[in-house]
Amino acid sequence: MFSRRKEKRMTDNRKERTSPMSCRDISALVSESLDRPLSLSERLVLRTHLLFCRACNEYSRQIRLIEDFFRRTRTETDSLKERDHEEPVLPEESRRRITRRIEDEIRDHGPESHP
Amino acid sequence: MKEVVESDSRNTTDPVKWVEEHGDALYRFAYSFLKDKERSEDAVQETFLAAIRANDRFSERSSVKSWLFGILKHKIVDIIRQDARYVRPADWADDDPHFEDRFFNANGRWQTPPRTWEHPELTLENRQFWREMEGCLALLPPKTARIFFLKEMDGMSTEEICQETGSTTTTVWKALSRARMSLRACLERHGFGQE
Repeated sequence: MFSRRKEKRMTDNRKERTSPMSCRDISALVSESLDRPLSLSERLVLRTHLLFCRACNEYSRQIRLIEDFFRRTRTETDSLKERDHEEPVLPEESRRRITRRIEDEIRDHGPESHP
Repeated sequence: MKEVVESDSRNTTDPVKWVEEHGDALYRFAYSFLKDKERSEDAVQETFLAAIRANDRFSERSSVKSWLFGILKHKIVDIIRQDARYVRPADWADDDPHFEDRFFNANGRWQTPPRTWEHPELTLENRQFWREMEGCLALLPPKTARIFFLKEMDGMSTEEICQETGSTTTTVWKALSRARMSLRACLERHGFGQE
């Protein structure tokens, strides 16, 4: 399932950001690609690794799915703000309870400057 | 994002009128995440109370509505993070230097390679997925969670998150990377994506 091909260790300085080779380093790079533009050499390293590594490919796919889920959710829920009179609405008894609670709060710690 | 100052009743600074003006929209927004009447009501009520307590900041705001929604998002996050279904390993803290060691062995290879997700349906409407996601989000250590929510709930850029949290870009990227790493592992551990 997961190819355990030996990774060519080109250099020993795996910590250097431009030549990450292990899955551990690649996973960080995949994540950062969602947050910043990668440099040309980083893109090259990433693409080459993903070509041969099924696990990192799957990792990349999954965190993109998660990212995409939150992006869609932001857009969808943002549009809810503008749609009035749609279900679900705040139930009447909750409305009353919250109003009472607000009045208590204003009485106890009230905003002095409110008109 | 920025809204023009409105002088009609929709922009009233009288908290009692907020319930009429914004109650439904706030409730609907909260409900889409929390899927539960009581938790959604709590989120709305806590939003109004927090807004009253921060009343002196009204005048700086361009729109009461977007201000209330800003507070509501944080209340929703607080409620999601109270979910205690799963237990975070005691030694996993925000600044854990060994975080990645949980996922990779000494030569940098995956300990448990991510499995292929079959028919992944990541939506708020997919209750099973979202319930797992809530439980997994609650596992993140506090600072990591804060950065992740600023990015994914508020849609902030790295620069904005740095400003908001006083972190460096490296810290933000690392926190996001760890959040993603643990979320996907947590989802998979609880059966998401497997037939």
